Amino acid sequence: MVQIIRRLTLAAAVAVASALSTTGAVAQNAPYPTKPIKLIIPYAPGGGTDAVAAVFSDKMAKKFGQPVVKENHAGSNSVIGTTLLADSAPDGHTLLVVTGAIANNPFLYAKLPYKTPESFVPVSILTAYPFVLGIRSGLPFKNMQELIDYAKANPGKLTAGTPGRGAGAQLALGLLNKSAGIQIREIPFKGAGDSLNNVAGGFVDMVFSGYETVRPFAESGKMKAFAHTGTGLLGSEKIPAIGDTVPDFEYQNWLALIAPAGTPAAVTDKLNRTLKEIFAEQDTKDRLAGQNIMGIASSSAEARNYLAKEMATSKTIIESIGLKPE
Amino acid sequence: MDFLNNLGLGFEAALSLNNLTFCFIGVLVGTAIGILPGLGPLATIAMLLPLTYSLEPVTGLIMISGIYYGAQYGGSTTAILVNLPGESSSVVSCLDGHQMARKGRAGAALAIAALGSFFAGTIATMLIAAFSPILAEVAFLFGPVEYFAMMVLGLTAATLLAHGSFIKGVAMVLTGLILGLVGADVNSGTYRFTFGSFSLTEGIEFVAVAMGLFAFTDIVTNIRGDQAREVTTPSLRNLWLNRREATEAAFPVIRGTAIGSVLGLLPGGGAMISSFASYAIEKRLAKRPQEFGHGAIAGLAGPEAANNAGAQTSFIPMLTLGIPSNGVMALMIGALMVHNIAPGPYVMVSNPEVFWGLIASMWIGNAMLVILNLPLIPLWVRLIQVHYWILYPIILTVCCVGLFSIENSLLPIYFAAGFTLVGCLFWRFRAEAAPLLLGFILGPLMEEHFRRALLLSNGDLAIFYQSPLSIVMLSIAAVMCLVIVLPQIRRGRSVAFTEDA
Repeated sequence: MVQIIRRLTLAAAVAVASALSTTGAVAQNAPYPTKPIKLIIPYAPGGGTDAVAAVFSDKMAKKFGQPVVKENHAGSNSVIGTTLLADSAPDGHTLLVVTGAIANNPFLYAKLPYKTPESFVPVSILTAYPFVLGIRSGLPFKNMQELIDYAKANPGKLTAGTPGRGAGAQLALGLLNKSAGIQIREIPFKGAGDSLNNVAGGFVDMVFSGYETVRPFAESGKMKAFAHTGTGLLGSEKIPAIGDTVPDFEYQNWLALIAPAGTPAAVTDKLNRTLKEIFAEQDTKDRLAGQNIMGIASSSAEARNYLAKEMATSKTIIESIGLKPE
Repeated sequence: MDFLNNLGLGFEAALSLNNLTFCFIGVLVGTAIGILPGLGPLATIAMLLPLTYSLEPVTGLIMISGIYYGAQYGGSTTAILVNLPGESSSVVSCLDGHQMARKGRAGAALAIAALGSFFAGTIATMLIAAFSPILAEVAFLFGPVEYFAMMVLGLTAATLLAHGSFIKGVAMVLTGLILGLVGADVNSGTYRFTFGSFSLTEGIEFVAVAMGLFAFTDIVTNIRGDQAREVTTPSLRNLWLNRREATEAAFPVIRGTAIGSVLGLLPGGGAMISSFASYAIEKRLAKRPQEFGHGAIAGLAGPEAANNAGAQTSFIPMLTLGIPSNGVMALMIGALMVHNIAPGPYVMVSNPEVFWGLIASMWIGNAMLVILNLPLIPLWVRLIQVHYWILYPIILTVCCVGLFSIENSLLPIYFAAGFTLVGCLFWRFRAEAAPLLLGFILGPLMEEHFRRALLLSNGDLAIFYQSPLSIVMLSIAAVMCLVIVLPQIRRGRSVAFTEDA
């Protein structure tokens, strides 16, 4: 009796879920996709990667007439989720949203369970965005030049939180130390959220993080956001680029959609076309612009070149800051 | 009376038929997944999140939060009836709740859990409404040093948790500590105790350890006993709390609510730690501490109130500052962003109907949970009368499905099997498994914060006595140690704690 009730409750929940998720779906006559698409996110739920994936996954589901199911498999700087993709059937029904971490990991992990880029087919670059440098309030500087002067006058005094080994923020910090000739000490955390809270609490001096994650702290006065790692002025606050003060400094984080090696070109082409349509829609543009993220729908070949170029850049940064594969 | 106006606005939003419906769906789904072991609220909410995109923002949030605190209720039910901690925060409810059930007081245990949680939920909701902006700042008082001090305090309290031998308690905490070290080290990224296996880089899965040590071990030892289950059949007339039980539960519930409300504000597992803290405190305060572990009412009522209050107040940092204190809160921020509502201090001003509507719905949801759960008690209680040969295969199957679904891999099931063997060994040794679990969770956190504090201070230990909060917590821990270690006092303790000798 009890079991029956339990089962009914669960069945009802599942039925409601599937009914709602396929509402508004328009069936199209195409050999792909023939079943729901699994979209792996190699990070914990609720992060920036999730937010961007949400922008296009719903629309993709409507256009394909098949649900796109997000699955979060966090861990080891995205290696766990990426391994799952590498072991999946190359039929386009399992896809992965990766960050720049995929280009860093080959130079950080001695024994990866997959090969980069041979185990994958890049489908499209999705977005590129700079980090904002969030500084805890109470420090005696208001711009990048003053920060560098302070760091030179007090070597080893400033600290920066990073989300852990191999994360983009760690590379951005290493690059800043290197190009400005300063020594800001790295304090690793488990994830970006932890590092942000510690800067807001005044325990750590600064953090490189996405615009949307620094903004609430900047608005409440717990952080100052006076520089970012891209080019030009960022957002309505017109945050200046670090590159204006430190020549040649630029670090862009990016997201890409990839599939397992051996996925047919017809499938990646169809995905590509669909993504291009989605990113051309005005409300997609608006949503991404609100987070100061640039939407890019590239061809598979462009994505492959982009990945190769990023791997070369990562290799240079990682070697220059003295990290070795383990 | 800004406060009343705000609440009025909130109830106006939350009492619309649409929002009430989704609140109900939320708590119903939440209770169901809380009862099913292994299925956590995080996975469920992640799965259902896309559905909320098509709803009004406040409706979506009401449903998600309903799932979250509904799961806390449901988790207690399984913990009490079949000794299975569905959530890490209900580990403590197993200790005395299940013992009560065995003694034929399952109905009373479930009623205490439901009513205690409702009381805690009500108070915590009022706190959120009245003090959100002020309380949010508490989270920022805790840096690496303060967290380390809190963990030391927690682990010291854990040795008090163990009934039976003090040495065994320490041994179990240390075993838990070592098991918790498996995986990548946060600071250097070096792998420890992974034996070259990639699946171990993220550590041993908590759910697998908990299921193996508690639920599966329980099943094995019961079957091994080869006797009629030592469960007193509850008579249906005897389901309700009697006056004595209600009196005994009252103060622990109030204390638990206070502890949970404060600890819930802290990022990272506040609800879980608060249930442990409440248990330790109740045991200290109890007139008959020897009853703990054998169905002490205070040992169930306090922690149940604490974890529910903690679950509620963990909304405060998210709502007021846009800072997630756990995975579920991170998902809610994601949901807000999808609706172009920027989480942060301005939500209260820019979207008051969302902010206050959500708060009002929490109280409504808590009331719904009591209405939903109390009439079901006779039904749940019958569950423990089901024969072994029906119940155990069902529990095992559901658990294995839950374990598999964590990472879509078989490994957690093997681990649970391994820990069942270990658990049976502990059972033979008469060593309590709860301190091991606490060491497993707190140990790695303690190390992480300790090393981070030293990184910040460039290796100078002085950093630990420069923070007043840290001094207070470390001193309490030191006093606790003295109390246990000082020989003559220890003799006194062993008299008070003699159970198994």
